[in-house]
Amino acid sequence: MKKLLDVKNLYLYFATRKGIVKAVDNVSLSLNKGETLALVGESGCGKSSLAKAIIRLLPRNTHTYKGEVYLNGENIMEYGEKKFRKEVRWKKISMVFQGALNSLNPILKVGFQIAEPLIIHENMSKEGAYKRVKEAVKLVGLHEAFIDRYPFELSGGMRQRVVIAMALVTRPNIVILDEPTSALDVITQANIMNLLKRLKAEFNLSYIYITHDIAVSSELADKVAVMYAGKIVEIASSEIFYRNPSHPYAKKLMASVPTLRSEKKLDFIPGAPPSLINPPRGCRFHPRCPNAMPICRREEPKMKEVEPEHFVKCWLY
Amino acid sequence: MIYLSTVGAEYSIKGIAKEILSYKSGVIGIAILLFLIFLSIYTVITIPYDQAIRMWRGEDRMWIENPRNAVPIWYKYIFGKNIPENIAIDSRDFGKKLGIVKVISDIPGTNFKKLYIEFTFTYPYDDFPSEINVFFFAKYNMNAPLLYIYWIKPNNRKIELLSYIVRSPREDILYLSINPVIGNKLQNYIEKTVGEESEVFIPVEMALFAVEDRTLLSSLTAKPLNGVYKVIIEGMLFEKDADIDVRLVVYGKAWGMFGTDDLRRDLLIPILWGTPVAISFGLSASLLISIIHLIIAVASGWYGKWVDSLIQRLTEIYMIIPFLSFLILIATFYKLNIVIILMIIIVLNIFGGGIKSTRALVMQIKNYPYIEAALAYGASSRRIIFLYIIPKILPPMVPGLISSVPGFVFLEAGLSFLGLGDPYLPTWGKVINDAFTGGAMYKGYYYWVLEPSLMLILTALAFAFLGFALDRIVNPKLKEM
Amino acid sequence: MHISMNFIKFIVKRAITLYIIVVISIYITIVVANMGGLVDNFIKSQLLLDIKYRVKRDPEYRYLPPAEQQKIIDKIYDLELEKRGLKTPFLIRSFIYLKDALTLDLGRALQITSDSGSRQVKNIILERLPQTVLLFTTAMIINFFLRLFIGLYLSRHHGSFLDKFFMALSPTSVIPGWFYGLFLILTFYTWLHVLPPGGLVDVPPPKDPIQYGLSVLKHMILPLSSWIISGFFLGCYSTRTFFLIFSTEDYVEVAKAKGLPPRLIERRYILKPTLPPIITSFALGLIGSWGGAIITETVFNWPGLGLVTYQAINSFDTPVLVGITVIYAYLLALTVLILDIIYGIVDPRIKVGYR
Repeated sequence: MKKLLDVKNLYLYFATRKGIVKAVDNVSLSLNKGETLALVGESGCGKSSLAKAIIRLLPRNTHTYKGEVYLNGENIMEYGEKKFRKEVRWKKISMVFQGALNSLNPILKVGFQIAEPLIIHENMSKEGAYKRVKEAVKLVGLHEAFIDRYPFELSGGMRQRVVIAMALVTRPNIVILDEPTSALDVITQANIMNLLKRLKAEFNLSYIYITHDIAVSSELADKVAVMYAGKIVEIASSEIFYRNPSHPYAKKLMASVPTLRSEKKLDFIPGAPPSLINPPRGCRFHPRCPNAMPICRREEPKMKEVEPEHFVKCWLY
Repeated sequence: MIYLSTVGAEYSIKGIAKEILSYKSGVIGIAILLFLIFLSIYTVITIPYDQAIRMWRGEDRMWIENPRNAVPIWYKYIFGKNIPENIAIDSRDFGKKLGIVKVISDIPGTNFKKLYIEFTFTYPYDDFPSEINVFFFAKYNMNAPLLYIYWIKPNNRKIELLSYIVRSPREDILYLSINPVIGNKLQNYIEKTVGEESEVFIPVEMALFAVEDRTLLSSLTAKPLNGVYKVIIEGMLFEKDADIDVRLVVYGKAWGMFGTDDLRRDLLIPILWGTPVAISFGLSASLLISIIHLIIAVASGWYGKWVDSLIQRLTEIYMIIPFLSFLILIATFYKLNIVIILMIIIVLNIFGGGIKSTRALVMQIKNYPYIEAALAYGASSRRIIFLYIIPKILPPMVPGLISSVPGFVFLEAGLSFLGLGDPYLPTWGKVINDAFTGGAMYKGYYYWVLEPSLMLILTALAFAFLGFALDRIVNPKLKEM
Repeated sequence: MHISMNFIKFIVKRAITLYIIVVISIYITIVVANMGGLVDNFIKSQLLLDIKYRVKRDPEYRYLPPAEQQKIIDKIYDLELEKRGLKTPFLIRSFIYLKDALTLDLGRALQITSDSGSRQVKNIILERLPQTVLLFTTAMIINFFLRLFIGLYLSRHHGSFLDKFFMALSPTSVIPGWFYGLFLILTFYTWLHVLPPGGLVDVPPPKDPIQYGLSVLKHMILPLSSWIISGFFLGCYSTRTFFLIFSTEDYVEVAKAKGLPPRLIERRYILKPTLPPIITSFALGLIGSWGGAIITETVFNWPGLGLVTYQAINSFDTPVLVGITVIYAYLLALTVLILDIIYGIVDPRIKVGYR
């Protein structure tokens, strides 16, 4: 089965007053059609930067941006800006940003904002576009009358749904979701998760679901990738990961999630997240790793395939 | 300014001072400000207020010996021309200075006396004097002395200027330059000497000092004759105890460090005194208005409800009132001095626009959990306001305070310019007003306009730069940009 | 364009509020101009003196006994008071003046005459108003577009040398327009003799309308420049900052991610949302500069309302001053109202009734 998305050796560094931030440091991962990849990690580990790197939303102070990103076999990194904008953005890959509250232009009607990519990318007429918009809106569980509203007239949950509808309306191959529910209350959260599950099943969508909340990710994920200090340290299928992760960091993460039924002693990870400007030498996790060995301090471990489709970056393996 | 600062930052004086200096604009602002403050202190010490006012009013012919509209002395070095300066010779200096001769001799058989005064001076300048006056200090009872005045140029030509009877004891002034008798006499003399008729009337100062050839016929070509001049005053005193002293002043065209205005006043006074006036006016206006705004904003934000609504409406009213029109109306009908102007400006600014942002900040702080906690432990409103709220809203107000000073300085200058300011106070705006109405724009008296203008600009920029730096410090968001 | 009932109600409410404010302002003006009734006392005592003097000199009354004279003086005084309407107390008369002012019945000037020879304050003002509006509006339009485009350009290249340059020169905007005017006159007239120092048009005015227009334009250069230079650096820098803030909003990133073309993003996602605050700060500046216009017109001898104000000040012409203040009050209120309407149209939050 051909991979839908194949990221190879992606780098994204920013230049700041304090130094160069190595937000995405040689990241490789892949996604198959219909799969959901959960990308987990602490705040500030580079998850959002990775998402932006894939969709090429680069800030002004970008220092390094290189690597290969194969979408359906084609390296979209080689596309010029215009081609990328016309063919990749929103057509093939769309994104739901963190904090949907501010993702919508306050002075444009909601329906219009959903219709925009259709009109721009697929050259649809207004009537045709709005027909699709109404479908999309219904899909996410909102009444189609809402398309004539302004964002400030909607509640948080409704806005989130609108943003999701907006991401789906062009029927992209991949939808990247960056913490789509972290600003919402638990009930709305559950509703949104159910919606996402339903849409995935109905349309065979592929998601990249970025979150710091492992518990939530487990609902959707087929595959899990753990990110730490700009690097991917483990990629595994969800069955393997949620039951028995391999990387010490991943183990600690799972150990810190409370379970409902059994008596679990909650663990925590000592220390603070590393700086992306001056990451620790060798393995980046070694200052906080309970299994640290001398070699961990010196050399960076290589990504090893311990099982089929299960990669770990650790000297233990 | 546009943003509200992030509440919670800590400020210390030393830290702020260091930060201000880290910005170029801060350094410039403080440097200029220190200079101006030093200037103000120096001015207030060397020329006390009362003295300054008296001098500026120009009573008792205080300025009579200054030339009118004289340029500053340093013009000579910039333009390289030897601009004439004042030459004064006083017969009372006979015996103390050279070039003066005074002889009074009795005429035998009478009570009369013969008078002979001779002045000798050199005229080395490249331009003609602006004016020539003779001052008489006569002592007599009933019969005034009779005098004959002669003028001898370096070419040894002796001209009889006129015969003159002193008009009053004590002091009498003969304005040579505008005397028609002398004027006509000189006109005839020149036409005879040069041999040609002149189309225009040749000014007295020119006639008395020019090279006597055809160049004299036009003011564009006339050249001063450098050399030794003599003025002879001969006459008769008709009383036994009569006496007379004469002072000749040949007015130059340059004077002092700042020049003079059309009333002969040394511009040093308003230029120097304008500094403390402008700074104190601007700062007081800004400070007082800020304090009032603070009180109103706190009242509005903290007490809320109808107090808030009322104040909001009042603010809107104030925004629409044609503020300057009122100021002008009041200034026109009522006698004004600078303190009253200050009061009026404050009153007219009470519910100004700055209140909005401060009030918003107060409301923001009001909702903070620690305020709720303070209320819970029973803190009175007063305590909360003074201990918690005010310290947090003061820092953001400071840049605005400083930045609005130039506005008030220019407001005062503008009012003075319209003629509505304090008429007796020497301020920069008044000087510009004088210059404008005195035709400086047409006659090219640049210094008259430029000197006060430069001072105004300097003061404005000092506060503007400083306020700018302060704003960057207090508003962290601006720092990023 | 769907305009809600809410919006219309809001505008009507604003109009009424503004009108009330205008009324209050005008009343205060009347009280101030008449020194709260003190002027009455002056007029009355002056009147009494005049009458006394007249009666004492009049051959008919001269030789009457003092008691008789006094009776006649009192009678004439009374008649005069009645004639001039000074019998009604000031308080009541002030409201009569108020009504007059509100209906724009502005009375006659004491000294000033309009160019057409009329003494009516209304005519004087109407004659001069167009010139002020011409100068003002042109400056306003030029300023607005200059700041918009340069601000946009600067925000796109923020951090560049040009950007820092504008920032460094922002404090120069503290200096008011009329002050720059002085320097401009000194430079271009006194020194270089290329531009006129003031006035509306060459003297004698050209007969040909095109030449006339060109002459007016030539005379407009310096006053316009002084206004534009004054607010230039800070104005451009402020709009640039506005644009920067708004272009770092999340929804702009989303727009980029959606693959919208950059020009469209600029127009729809940056420009349009920024418009309300830009318009507000611009209008506030406008209102603030009504006052500066007086001084500017005086400096440039521009025959507009500002110059008339200055002349009225110098000749203590109360009716004219009051009339001008009334007009200013109305103009200001009108500006604010128009502003509110524009704001409402541009910002849908207000249009739809969001408060």
